[in-house]
Amino acid sequence: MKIEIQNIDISYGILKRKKVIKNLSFDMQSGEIVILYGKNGVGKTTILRAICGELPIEKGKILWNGKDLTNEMSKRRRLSSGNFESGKMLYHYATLRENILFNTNLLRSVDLEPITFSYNYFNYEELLDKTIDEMSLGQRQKSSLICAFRKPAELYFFDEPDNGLDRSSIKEFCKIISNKPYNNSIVVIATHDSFLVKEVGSKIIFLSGDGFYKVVTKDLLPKDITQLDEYLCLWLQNEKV
Amino acid sequence: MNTSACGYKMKKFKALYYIFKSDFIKEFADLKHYSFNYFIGIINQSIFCYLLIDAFSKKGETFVNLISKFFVWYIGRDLISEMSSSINEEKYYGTLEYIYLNTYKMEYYLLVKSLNTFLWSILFFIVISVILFVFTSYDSRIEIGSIDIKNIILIVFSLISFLGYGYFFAGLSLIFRKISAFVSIFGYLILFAQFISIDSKYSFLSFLVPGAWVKYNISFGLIGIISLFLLFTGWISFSLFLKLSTKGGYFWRV
Repeated sequence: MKIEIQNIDISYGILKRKKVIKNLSFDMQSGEIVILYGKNGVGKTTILRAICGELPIEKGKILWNGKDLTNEMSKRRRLSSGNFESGKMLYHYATLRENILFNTNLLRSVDLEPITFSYNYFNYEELLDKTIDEMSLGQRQKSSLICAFRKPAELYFFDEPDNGLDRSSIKEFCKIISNKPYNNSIVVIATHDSFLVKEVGSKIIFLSGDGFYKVVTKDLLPKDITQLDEYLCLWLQNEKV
Repeated sequence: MNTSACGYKMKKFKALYYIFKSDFIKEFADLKHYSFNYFIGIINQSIFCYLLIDAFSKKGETFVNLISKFFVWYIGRDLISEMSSSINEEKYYGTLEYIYLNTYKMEYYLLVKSLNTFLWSILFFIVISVILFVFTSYDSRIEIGSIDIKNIILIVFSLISFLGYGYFFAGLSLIFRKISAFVSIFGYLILFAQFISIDSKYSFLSFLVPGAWVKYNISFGLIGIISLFLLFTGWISFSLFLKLSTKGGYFWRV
């Protein structure tokens, strides 16, 4: 299983197009956890949306197992699962059980293994019959993450999954994606927190926001992760020169 | 028909069934959570229906005629507004992306959602009718023989047209935020067109307003063509707005 992103440009707007991502290339392999790392507004979520087939790309190619799926957005959507916007993507008036039911029924999920797996990890028995409205921010975020595993997928994506979660919950999330029931799948995470990079990242796409980016594998990263930003900025600066 | 084509059709049918089921789960949760709002809504509509029937029965229209006009308006208004309001609601909850990320076309999702809305509206209409029969002195006996098959066909064509309008407004809701207010005005315009005769120089507008067809003696063939045209236009415009909204980044903006 391999996904190749080749020189893609992504733009927004109907009449006035604004280019957000320029000439981005990287690839992802089975079992890899890829982190899109960068400050707010550099285009991490935009890249996620483009890969999973929500946003059309302007230029470049997306190859899925060698097959060109650039223009087959619906196929990419079918092969992906995940969540955008922390704590959202849930019906607030419904209970977590109803949200899970809605999601799994909508997708004809005959295979409930991923969602059961994540649900068991978070140990959410007591929250199943609580409405999302009654939950705290962290509990909502966990519920949203549980629903993200609504179907077996080749690509799982998570947008800022650490928002609103305490350290122990982030660790639980890291355990879920590291021991995910489908080892053949790829996980992509958009974050600005270096903790996730340290815990689970096997490949980091560092986005600087001015159109530059750097693909770094974990073995090349410094041991002291607190200096990650400075390290990556310096690296990028050298590259620009 | 070969077996693979048959299998594909069965798969598609199953997919629609699953959308229906999941939407029903959601609607039921909504009903449970906002049951008081639904109750107040039914009381409001019962009073409104009573006042409408009371005012127009004095002008000589029969009860069956008036209640069927109210029925067309009540169902049509729900069909049109539910599509665009659900787009707004799903955007607000962030769940529109979930639905978009599923394997089906958004158009199918809205179609099945409309069927669900239709069934819920029928249920609420029955409750309103029962309230009217119990609390008013209207003659509730409806003779089967007095129901004209032509009126039933007309109602079916009207509902098809309402679906078309629903798609159109839902498409607009993907890009513009304040469409719901306009949709409610449009809903009352249909009511107006059904009950009040408009000036003859504006009668051409009646082609576009399903409720007004019956008053202007438009032929059945033409009504059929108009309703299918409205549905087709609505469907195509929704697909176009969907493409524009994803391309422009409006799709996930609340």
